[in-house]
Amino acid sequence: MIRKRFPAIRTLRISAWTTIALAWGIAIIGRQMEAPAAEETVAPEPVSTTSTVVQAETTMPTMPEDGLIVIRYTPAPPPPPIVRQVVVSGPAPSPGVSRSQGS
Amino acid sequence: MIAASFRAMGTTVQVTGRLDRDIASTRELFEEVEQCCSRFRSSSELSRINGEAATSIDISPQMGDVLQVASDIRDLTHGLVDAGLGAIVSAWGYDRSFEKISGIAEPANLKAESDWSVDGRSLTRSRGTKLDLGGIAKGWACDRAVDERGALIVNAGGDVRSASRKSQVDVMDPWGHRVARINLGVGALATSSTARRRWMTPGGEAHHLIDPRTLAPSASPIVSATVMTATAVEAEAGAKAMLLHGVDGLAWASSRPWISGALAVWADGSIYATNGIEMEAA
Repeated sequence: MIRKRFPAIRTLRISAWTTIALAWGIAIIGRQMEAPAAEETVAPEPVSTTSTVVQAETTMPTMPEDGLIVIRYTPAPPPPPIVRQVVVSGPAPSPGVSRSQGS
Repeated sequence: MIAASFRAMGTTVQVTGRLDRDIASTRELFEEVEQCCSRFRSSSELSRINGEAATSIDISPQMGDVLQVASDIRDLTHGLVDAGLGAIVSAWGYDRSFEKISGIAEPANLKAESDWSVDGRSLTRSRGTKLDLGGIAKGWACDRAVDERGALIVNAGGDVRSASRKSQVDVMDPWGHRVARINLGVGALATSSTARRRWMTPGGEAHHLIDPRTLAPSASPIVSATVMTATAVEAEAGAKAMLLHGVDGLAWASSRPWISGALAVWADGSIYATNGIEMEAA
């Protein structure tokens, strides 16, 4: 008579322990993955830096007595200007037209 | 009409004239002025003056003329544009040609010392006063080129002086876009910007426009100021002063009889102008 190697009760027991072990493992791994995320949600204390060029809050100019022409109004900030660019020499100007971009 | 360009005083100079000799003479003039007034040439007269310990110094006729104009400009702008603040500008790192500036330490314990006067060929100044004639000398050279050297239009890095009734100037914002085409005609126009000559310090970016009231780079909401006047040296000074006046800059410019028109590019990209400016919007 061939002895049944895995009786039903034993199969059940193996399955139960396997499930418990897997659940335990998943819980540990899950906790480890959550841990850094939890740390990230705590905003680090901002490092105090003093900006040399503090741009004043955007405001409207004081109205001149003889009026103000609004050529363009863009409340959204434009892209930051190019830093450390000295002179942009564009194409040769047409006679009588110069360019002024400042220095 | 002949047009040419060359490098001088740390920028590109564009000249329009009727004859070749007008161009050549203008180029010579810029070389002479640079040799006289550059802070960055060790052989210049200005470097000699700044290096001397004496408080009373004999100066050349050309230096005397430039310093007299600088003195007038200081009065005209109530001290906002002062050539005597060279030591402060240097302390912030702008002590060499702009291309050679690298990161510097933020200066500490700055002292506002600007005490100088000029009388013909004699300069009197306090020991701590160092002169910086960069912008004034550039504008002065543009004016001399048109008044004495036959140039019709001279544009030195945004300082424009014109003797042509039909001259127009494209004003560019710091991002390289054309803001407006201004009908300049006979006169001058200059743009001063805090967005171009910038460099890094440990505390952040610095730029060359030092506010004499704070002894630090200006925090004005104006990033670029353009002013129209009769002469380039006035335009250069007017643009700087308007920028330093911040939110009141356009109102200030509008109330100055020597400024005929002004335009400002705001930090948020908005653009405003006074009524005195004749232009075609871009």
